Amino acid sequence: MNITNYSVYAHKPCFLLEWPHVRILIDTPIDFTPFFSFLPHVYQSPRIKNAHIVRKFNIPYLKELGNRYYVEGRPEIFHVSPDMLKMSTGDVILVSNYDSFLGLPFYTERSDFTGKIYVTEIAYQYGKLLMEEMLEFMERIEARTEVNNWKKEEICGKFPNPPFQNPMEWKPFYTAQEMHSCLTKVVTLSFNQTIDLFRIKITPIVSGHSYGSAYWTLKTENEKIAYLSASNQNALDVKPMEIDPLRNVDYILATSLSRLVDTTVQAMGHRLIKEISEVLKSHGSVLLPMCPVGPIFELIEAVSDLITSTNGISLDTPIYFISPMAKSAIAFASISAEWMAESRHNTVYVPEEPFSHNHLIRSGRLKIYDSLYGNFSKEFKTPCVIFASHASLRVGDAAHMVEVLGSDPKNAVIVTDPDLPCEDVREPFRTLPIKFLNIPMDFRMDFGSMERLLADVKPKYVLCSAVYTRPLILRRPDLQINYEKLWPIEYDECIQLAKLSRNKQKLVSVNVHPAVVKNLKFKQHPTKKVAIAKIVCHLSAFNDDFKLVPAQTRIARKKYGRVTLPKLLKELRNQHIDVVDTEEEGKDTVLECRGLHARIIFNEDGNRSKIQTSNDQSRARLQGVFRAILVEDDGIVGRRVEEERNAA
Amino acid sequence: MPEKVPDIKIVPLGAGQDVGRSCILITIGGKNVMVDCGMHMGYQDDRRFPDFSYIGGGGRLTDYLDCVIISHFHLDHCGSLPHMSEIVGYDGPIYMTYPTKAIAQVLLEDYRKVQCDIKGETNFFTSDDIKNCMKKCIGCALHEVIQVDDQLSIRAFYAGHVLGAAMFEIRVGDHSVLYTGDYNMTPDRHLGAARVLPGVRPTVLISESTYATTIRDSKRARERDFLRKVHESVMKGGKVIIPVFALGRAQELCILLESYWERMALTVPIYFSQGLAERANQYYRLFISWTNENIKKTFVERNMFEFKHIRPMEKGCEDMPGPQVLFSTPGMLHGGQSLKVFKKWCSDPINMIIMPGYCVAGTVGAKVINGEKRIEIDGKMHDIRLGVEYMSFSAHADAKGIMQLIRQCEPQHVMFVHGEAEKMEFLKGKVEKEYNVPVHMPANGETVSITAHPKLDIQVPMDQIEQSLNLDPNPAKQRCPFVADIVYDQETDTLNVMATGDNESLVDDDECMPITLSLSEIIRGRQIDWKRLAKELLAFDPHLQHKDDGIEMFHGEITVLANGDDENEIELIWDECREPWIKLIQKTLYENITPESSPEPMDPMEPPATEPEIRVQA
Repeated sequence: MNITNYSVYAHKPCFLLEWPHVRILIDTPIDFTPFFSFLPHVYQSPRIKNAHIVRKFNIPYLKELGNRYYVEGRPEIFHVSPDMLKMSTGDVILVSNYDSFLGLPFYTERSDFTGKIYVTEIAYQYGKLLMEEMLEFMERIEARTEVNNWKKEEICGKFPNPPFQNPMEWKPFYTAQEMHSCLTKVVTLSFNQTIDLFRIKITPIVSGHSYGSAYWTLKTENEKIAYLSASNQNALDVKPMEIDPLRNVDYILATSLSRLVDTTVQAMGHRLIKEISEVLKSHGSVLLPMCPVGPIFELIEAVSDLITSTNGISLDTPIYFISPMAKSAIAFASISAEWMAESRHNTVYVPEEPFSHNHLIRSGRLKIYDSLYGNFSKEFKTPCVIFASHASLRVGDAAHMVEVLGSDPKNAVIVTDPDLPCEDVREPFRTLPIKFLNIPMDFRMDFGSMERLLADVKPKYVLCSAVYTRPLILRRPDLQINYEKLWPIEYDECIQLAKLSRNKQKLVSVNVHPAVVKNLKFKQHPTKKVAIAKIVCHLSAFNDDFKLVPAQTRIARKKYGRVTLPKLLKELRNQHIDVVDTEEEGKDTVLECRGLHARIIFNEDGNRSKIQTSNDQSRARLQGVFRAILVEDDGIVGRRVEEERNAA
Repeated sequence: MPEKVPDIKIVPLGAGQDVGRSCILITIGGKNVMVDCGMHMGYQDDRRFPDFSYIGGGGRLTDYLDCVIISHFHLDHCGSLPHMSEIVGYDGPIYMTYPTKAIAQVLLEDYRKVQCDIKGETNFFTSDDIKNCMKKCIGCALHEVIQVDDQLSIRAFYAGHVLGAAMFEIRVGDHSVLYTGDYNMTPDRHLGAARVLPGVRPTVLISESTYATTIRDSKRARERDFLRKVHESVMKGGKVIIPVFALGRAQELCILLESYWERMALTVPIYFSQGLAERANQYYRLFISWTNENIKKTFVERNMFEFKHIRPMEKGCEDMPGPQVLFSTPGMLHGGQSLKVFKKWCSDPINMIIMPGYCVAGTVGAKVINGEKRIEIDGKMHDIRLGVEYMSFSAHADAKGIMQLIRQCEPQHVMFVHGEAEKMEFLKGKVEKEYNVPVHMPANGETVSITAHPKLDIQVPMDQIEQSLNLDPNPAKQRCPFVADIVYDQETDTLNVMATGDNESLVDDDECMPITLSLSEIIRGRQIDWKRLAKELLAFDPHLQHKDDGIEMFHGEITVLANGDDENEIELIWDECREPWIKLIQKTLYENITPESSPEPMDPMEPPATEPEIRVQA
């Protein structure tokens, strides 16, 4: 089995696992950082709407804002090239969480992928909401007819803020049609639901990172591998990570570690609440640009509790949740208790919803809107807390809200996405008085937890992106994966697992049909304490399900004995076959059976014979003759017996 | 043979040739599992509970049972659970789906209330018993493989019968039992159809058989019929009572009536037992993912279970004049509100009762369905004059559905439970005849012992598999000749597969040598282009070698040689094991050495056209 690392960033993993008969791609990440080269999309804002065209290039969509150049139009993203992955030959894609699910159509629709996609039910539902939301955001932005001129090195290379990657590799977002086509290939799973895929048993296991997030175990007859995607052992609201399945694996492919240094996501959470509290107490408003599913569910409750319980914050401070998917997200949160931690889950037995969202909506404390148009503009009042997408502040309603709240330094934008650097998110809004706070909420496992986990479950080998075998920060050996048997895999490097394992012989489990079992005749080996049975049957490999079934035609077996002229003639006579002529050609003897239009040729040692004829029936008859004078292999005949007996 | 074939033992403690009090004991691979723990509604004494003293010879249940599984929340499947776990005593795991866990406790509590508060019974489980019992219950998701212990695993499949109803596969090693609980093979207005995953092949299928002899008329016709009867009755000014269980059919019928009332602009009030209706809706709202695709798709925009025309029942509304429709619980008229209202309405012929589901024998509901004209209720005789309609809306699989499930999962044995003996008998004949599968239908307390087909898996080296696959030219690879030695090591008690004779040196015996027997034929062509030939044959063996004197394929197992000096003749030589390939190779040779439009090549030896002529030597 081969593993190839296609993770451009170790925290956004993408691995290809290959067996001779099957190719499995795990995870389909996308990188949103190209968004930072694009102008934020807002409804109204003289600052942005009236930004000047960059004079020296004279490309109408290249705008200058605060001495930075931005592309006006639908932003693009970066993903692993499906050509490189040879998606057309891929059999299956496993998707570990909804973040990865969002990137799926780039991999399945812009290639000839015809296989199946597996993902847990709720990661599918939430991931689909993220897709639909992004499509809606893109739809709001006018498409340009010409898109790529600016990408030339001689243009974008001269930006004061040049793109950090080659923008030629960036791709426009997928279409609704591509999304729908992609979704038809998806098969959803429960946790611990094992699928048998070309004899590989694949199981998604609770990883504790986000709702529906899974890590995977893949088991064949010869190897047991765990692909450890974004995981969290300290989940509070998400169903807690299961560790036990990791104890039975030989290899752990570790990916997606936390990018927090010397702090924890719990500490970040406390700080987040504290900062929100401070801003509200000073009568400012808080904008939280984040995706409409996941941590937002708990955060809405936490903010509501904060407003209720803090002196100095007005009880009627509204919480706004603005997203085209807000209503669906709240609805899905209320029906996915089964995928949550026990405390949340147990509410269904009351029966109550796992979150108080609908209660907050009914009491008017949480208001949800599908966009800024319509009711929101009438009902909007400050101070308030606003949850809105997108975290990058380039598309979606959040970007516009920065402009709305931007002039007041009491207000704050809190950037929580761990994969989007706060400074980049802020850049086009740098000149606004509004505060930007960076509180990355990274729920992925940190290096310390990973080290303890590995020490606990003790896999034979740990594989990981080579990045993780070098310290994240210089002279900080604790910020890397440490394990005795560690195998780093560089980007685009393919490693062979067989090189790690001492067990070279590959075994395959084959089912034996009862009729074949019944016909097995064991013979005691004369010297060894073993019994041997000859198995002569058909192997059926249909659907990669190996079965031994009774043979329906004669199957040739090895023969033992000695072929001599007298024996042959005698048997031919017995079977009434007329030999016309016998002659010697060198060391060979040739028998001519004219009636059968056939010849038998055999050597002088009597161990090589040939039946020469073009008549099938003649051939079959003469084969019968040979069977009669020779012994067919039964597992015992011809084996060295005497000597061993003597030796024993 | 080292292979041990375990027996599977199954004994119904309830639901053996009977409906009600489902409780089945399964012993598989040394593990003991109880599936369902139901209550018989027709009895008021201890006969309503399964006979737990039978289990494990009267020892502690916890010691004997490895786990208990509940298929769905109906009381005839879970009603005795608190009795078993708290009064008889069982502390092991009890598995059920999440919705079942949520709803069962509500129904148990309601039932307890009816028994204790209304009927004044004292010897019954308490609210605390129910709470403690539910603490032992473990919720599970569909398709999730739950490892009860190292060997025993269970897995739930969607059964469709009511919200959260599941079939359970109970597996130890290679053998498994699939217990259906109650199931429905056709989707309805709020639930999907029962579905097992492809590849589920139980050793034994234990299926309910409530409707073993019915093939229900089309669903639409039944619905029309139902709506027409309700409509006619209320137009005449009658009151219609529909006894239902709070969760399940009730939701389906409500959706049906609601849309009909809307369409026909009717204003006659429809009531639903208060409390239960709301609670039911709360549960449905939380478990949308267990309903059908249609509801799942639209639930964000509209809630199918919020009704415009159907209101919670007001106090005393059954005494109000004029027509009305009342959904009332419980469904078998065995107590509670539905019985109370029925007593008030039953003597007036203008009224009607629609029994939408099965009633356990002995209940008032069953007597009503049987057409009894005078029924004793709580010691008082009542004349039954109202119209009685029995319409089967119970979501059970009918004969067709049961047959369909058997066809899908190809069990080695079938067992029927939860049905009446004569009906089972009928279906048993049908299954045995059509699928040639043995069918069991044990009575309560009767043990069925099933010997499973021996299943043997052996580990075969991959190269041996490859070698075998290579011998079959057919891409389907269904008949690859496989020859090997199975070696049973008596010391380690292991089975191994070895390639024939590879691992042992042979005796140096002139009379017992390994013989190479090859087969050959001479083919005559018009012109032989060896290069072209080699290219064509490459399709069969990419590793073929083109040598000076011919072509060698499959490591010499097939060779094509120039036949001596004759430029237009070749000799095709093959080992016996390569026979399956020969027709293909011959064809390629013919096509390539005899240019097209030439007649079929004449064999140099002119083989006989028909039967070979055999001359017997005098």
